[in-house]
Amino acid sequence: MYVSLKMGKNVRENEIWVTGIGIACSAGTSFTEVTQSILDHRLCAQPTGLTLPVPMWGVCPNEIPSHPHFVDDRKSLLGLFAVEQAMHDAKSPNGPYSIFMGTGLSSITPAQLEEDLYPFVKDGIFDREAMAQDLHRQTAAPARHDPHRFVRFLKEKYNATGPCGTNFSACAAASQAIAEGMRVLRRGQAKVAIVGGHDSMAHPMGMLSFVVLGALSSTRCRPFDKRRDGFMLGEGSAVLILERAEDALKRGVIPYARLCGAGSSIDAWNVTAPHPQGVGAERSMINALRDSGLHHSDIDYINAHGTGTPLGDIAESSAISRVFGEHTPVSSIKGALGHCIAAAGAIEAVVCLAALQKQFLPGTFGLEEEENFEINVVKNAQLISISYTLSNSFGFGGQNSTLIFGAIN
Amino acid sequence: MAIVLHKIGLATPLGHDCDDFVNKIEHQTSVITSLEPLALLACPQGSMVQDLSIRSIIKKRKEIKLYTRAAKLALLAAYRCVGQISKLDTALFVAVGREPPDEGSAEKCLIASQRDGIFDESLLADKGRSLYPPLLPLRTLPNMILAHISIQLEIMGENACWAGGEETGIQAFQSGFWAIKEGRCTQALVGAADSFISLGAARDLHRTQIIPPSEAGVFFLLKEKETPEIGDIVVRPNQKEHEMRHYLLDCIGYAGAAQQLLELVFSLHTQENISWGGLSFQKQLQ
Repeated sequence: MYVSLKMGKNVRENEIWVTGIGIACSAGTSFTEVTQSILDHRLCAQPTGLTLPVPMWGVCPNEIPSHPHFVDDRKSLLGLFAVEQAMHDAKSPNGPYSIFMGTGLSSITPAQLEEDLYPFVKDGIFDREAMAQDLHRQTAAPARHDPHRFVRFLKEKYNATGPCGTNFSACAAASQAIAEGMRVLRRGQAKVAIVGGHDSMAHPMGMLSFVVLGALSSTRCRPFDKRRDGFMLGEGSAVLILERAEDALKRGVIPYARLCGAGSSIDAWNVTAPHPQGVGAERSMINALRDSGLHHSDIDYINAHGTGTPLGDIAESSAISRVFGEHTPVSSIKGALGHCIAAAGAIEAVVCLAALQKQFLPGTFGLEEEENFEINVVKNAQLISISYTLSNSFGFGGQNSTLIFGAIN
Repeated sequence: MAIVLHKIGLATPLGHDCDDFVNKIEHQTSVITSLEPLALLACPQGSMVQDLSIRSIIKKRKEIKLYTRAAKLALLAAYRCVGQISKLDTALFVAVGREPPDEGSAEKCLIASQRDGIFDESLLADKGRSLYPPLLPLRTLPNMILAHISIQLEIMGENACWAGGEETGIQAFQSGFWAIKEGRCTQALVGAADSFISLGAARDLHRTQIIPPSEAGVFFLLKEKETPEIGDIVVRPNQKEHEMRHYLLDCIGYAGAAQQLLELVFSLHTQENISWGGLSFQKQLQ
């Protein structure tokens, strides 16, 4: 069904448009910078300088403004930066607002260890009784460990009266948060959805937790490469402003793209390893195609989760080849930016929007000798006409999420 | 097509039988007492679920060490709700609380990584690294609660893990309801689990003045049904809000993300029609 608008354009009823973008990651702190970086096929990750066996990480190179509410919380500072940039970019639409953000684990920085824990070391062990009874000194800790802290803050800042939530689905969190915002708008439960993700594990204890799991590369991330051995950790935040097309048209804003649909699934297989044939990933992509009313042949570009882990790339490429065959172009940006964990789905959604706007296929930085996966992996960025892009995000624990974006005709 | 609340599963300090749970709240039965795990706190009062055995439920017993208290509560409640099902199109939406604290397993690593109270990254990379418990990250990721349920009960459909305070349960419930309503699944397992029964979590509660600490798991199975039968609870969208009565604090204490869904269980058993969280719950009378 189509809705006629006085501007003379027709849009599908309940069509959701992206009208604002905010981003901060290793590729830059604006949509323009990030787009150019991906077009230039540039390595954005930097040496860590750590003694831990983690040579590279994708940290945000620009200074992020501080905020008194989040002095000890870098991921929320990154998130706030992206939210404010996205709202400004969308020309601050009127609410009611709905807010959904994907988030990750709270940080354990050296400063926090020195303030919270090390004062209790006595004779080489922690004095647990003193720690238990210390109720007054470190009162910031409970707030820092509240995963809903950032959304609660935004809810108050923007007086959001629509549904709001914090998604904690690991690396699928931001993608699922974006999907939820889309659905809330389709139902008419809000006029504007502020959606995305934010995360920063770029501190020694954060790195160690991935080192012990064997998830990080000993050199650098090489998605779909024969020598792939894990990912590089990244940090960042990306935020999209979503509106129903008819509301955005009435405001006269120029949208970036349409958010056509979303799907999710669970592997129900293993807490760390993906299903070997990627059956969950396959269902997630099929659910997204069904939700968007598109055929697999409509998709012009797939932004893979593509972590560069030995098992992850096998599972995903197997799923992609069953759903799309071997011709649809596929690439991963994690070799350039690093894996931004809970923010990855939002940052990669922005890469899909950049591809639609500048009409190009992002390349796969780090790919040198391609594994024979029977999919069409794009090595270098290419200018090409595209209409629909699909973005995969798969989380620890087997949660899969897929988003589909379409160009505005 | 109606959406009905098919079954409820509980794991609470007041027991796991719904009628018993409701009856104890109606009679203001308090199970708050001094708890051994909180003995080092100045005020060790709280309530806890005594039997958290999941050995008979899980497929791989060696995975028990990956389960936090909240994960065990969640699996027990979810299992009581649905039993063993294998459904591709069953959705799973779970509300979880704050990150479960490490109960000392990383202590040796942290101590080995400092010199005179100052963190030293090279010590972490050397001695600290070898002392870091490799399974700790898998315990502290809150969405592992959802992962465990999906693996044990073979649930593979649409899903999300929502995190935060007691309002988070509403989000999980709504997600499941709308997933059915919008045709993304035919049934949805929705619920919440949280536990403050540890020194670190209970201390945080004491710091924020919300006491006493408790824990619980609560799950609901929502199903599509062509013709609701007498006694079925039919769930519909509704904008009116019902004022929840907060009896639970007196009976068990604070159960975080599970709190509001436990209040919902009580309200559903004591009233015929209620409106909550943008939804109405109405018992089919004829």
